[in-house]
Order: sequence, then C-alpha cells, then structure tokens
Amino acid sequence: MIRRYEHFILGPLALLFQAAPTAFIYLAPNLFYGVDASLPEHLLWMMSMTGLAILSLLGMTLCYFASYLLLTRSRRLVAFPMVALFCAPAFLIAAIYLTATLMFMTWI
Amino acid sequence: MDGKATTGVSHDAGLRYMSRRRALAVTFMLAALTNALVFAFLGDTPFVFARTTPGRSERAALAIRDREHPFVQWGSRLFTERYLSKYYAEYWYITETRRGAGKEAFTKALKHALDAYPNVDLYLLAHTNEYIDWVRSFPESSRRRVRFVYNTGCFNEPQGPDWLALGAESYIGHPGQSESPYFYVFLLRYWTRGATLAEALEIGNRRMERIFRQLEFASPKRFNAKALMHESVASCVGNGTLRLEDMQ
Repeated sequence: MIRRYEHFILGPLALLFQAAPTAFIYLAPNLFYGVDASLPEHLLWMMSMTGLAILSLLGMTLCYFASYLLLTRSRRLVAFPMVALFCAPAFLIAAIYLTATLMFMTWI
Repeated sequence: MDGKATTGVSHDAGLRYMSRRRALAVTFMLAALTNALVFAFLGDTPFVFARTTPGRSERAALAIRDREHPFVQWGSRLFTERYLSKYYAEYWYITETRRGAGKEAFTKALKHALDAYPNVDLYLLAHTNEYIDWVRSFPESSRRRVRFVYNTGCFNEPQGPDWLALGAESYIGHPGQSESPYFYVFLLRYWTRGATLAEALEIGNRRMERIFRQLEFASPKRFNAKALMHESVASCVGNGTLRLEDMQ
C-alpha cells in the first residue's frame, strides 16, 4: 500500500529532512564550545564534517529520488506542482549545505 | 490513480507520465540549477580540483579565535582549518576560552613556527585586539619571519604600520565596526589558491559589498550596504603583490 504512494511522501520528506543539517549545525557548536562542552576541540573538524557531509548527501539523494519518482509515477499535472513545491526548495537547501561542505573541505 | 512509469500516450500533456530518461534529465537539471543558484547568490566561483600552492614546506600558519558565541567559534574553525592544513606545512589554531587566555599557547606555537619556518602567516580572527603586543616580545630576527598578518578585528586597520615595523611584510585589516567574516571567506579562498594579496583584497571587498547589497535588498531597514562597506572595507599595507608561494 505504502509503495503505491511513496512518491507522494518522498517530496515532503525530502523537504522536511533538510531540517536535519540545520539541527546539526545548531547542536554541534555546543558540543565543542558550549558551557557543557563534551567533545575535544581537535575532533571538531573531522566530526563536524562527517556529520555535515552525511546529512547533506542524504538530503541531496532524497531530493533526487523524490523528484525522479514523482516525475515517473505521477501524471505531469500532479508531478510538476509537487516537484516545484517540495523538491525544488529541498534541492536548494541541500545545495547550500553541500556547497558549504565542499567549500570547508577545500574541494571547490 | 497514478501508476507505474510509462511513456506518455495521452494527448493531454498534463495527464502524461514522464519517461524515465526525461525524468532523470529533469532531476539532474534541477539539481544543477539549484547548485548554480547558490554560487550565483554567493557571487563566487568554484575552485574544482585546486592544487596545493608550491612552497608548502616553507611556510606555517597560526590562527587565533577569541571568545565568541559557540556557533561563531565552531564556524571559524570549521572553515579555516582545512585551508591551513592543506596549504601550510604546519599550522596551529587556537580558540580562546576568555580574553587573553590563549597567550601561552599562542607564544609557544609562534616560537616553534618562527624557529622552524622562514614564512609564517598570522590569522587573527578576533574582535578588536592587541595580539601585536604578544609578538613584540620576540627577537627582531625571528619577527622578520612573520610574513603576512590578517586581522579581522574592528578598528584594527591602524595596526598595519606597527606590524610592518615589527617585521611583517604585509598586513590586512578593517577600519571600523566591521563585518569582516564576509571578507575573510573570500580572502582565504583566493589567497590560498595563488592570488596576490591585492587581488584577494579586491575580490574580497567586491564580494563582501555584493553580500551587503543583498542584505540591504532583503531588509532595507536593517542593513545599509554603503555604511556597512564604509566600516568594513579591508585595506592592505606592505607588499600587495605577495603570493602564498612567495618566499621572504
């Protein structure tokens, strides 16, 4: 049953998932520099980048799947507004996080 | 109800399904477009597969961040650290827990750097500061190895001639209550990729101004691009033709 509708769920899910890197960015600084800092500073780059990279890549992948499934399994009349409403903003947010991650890694 | 993927058969375009190939193309185009939008908004160009600038073994860097909100301290280190580790043979990144707390670590690291490397660059990522006093205590012969000093500190532009008198070759600072992070991002990105200080300075100032204009456009009551620029515009004293790979 869920499989039949998964393409409708994935779009909003992709957009909702973009809150995950935001939450990570909100929480991570306090782990290293907060009043109750619990992690050593020398691990900051490795741990933060791992977290950011995983979340931004997952977010981007989710966007790809959502957009592809919507376009192939729904009629255009339904697919285009859903892609515009959910996937395009999700892609944009994911692109911001991915760009930041690649910039921090000095890859771009 | 919508079903599995098919090729379009209906005469009404809105009722057709998209072919897999076309859906894939649209999806990739959407991804590429959003990535391009991000860069267009930043006004920056990506450096894909940038190589390490020559002379890495001959230079070291020391960065110090003062006490700030955890997010700012975290962001400063996250952005800076990889650039320093990639483009310098050795680097130190010190985050102060309170004002002046980093003196021992700073002087120890600087002594090691000045003893071991002919070119040492300093990144003073702190509000209005007097780190220059910590460097004064070093002998002149060592101080001459300090090559480039970047200071994000508000109102720290006038320190430039003092740094040059101490032995530094170039100094970049900001004149007023500056929004220097918007400049620093571009300075570090371009300077480490081989631009001269003058080029990185010009790009940094131009792109910082662009961001201020975007902020002003988004919230004209809160931001005044011209006033922000007046306070923040960075300037360089000393050798503006210096490149990361140059030796003293």
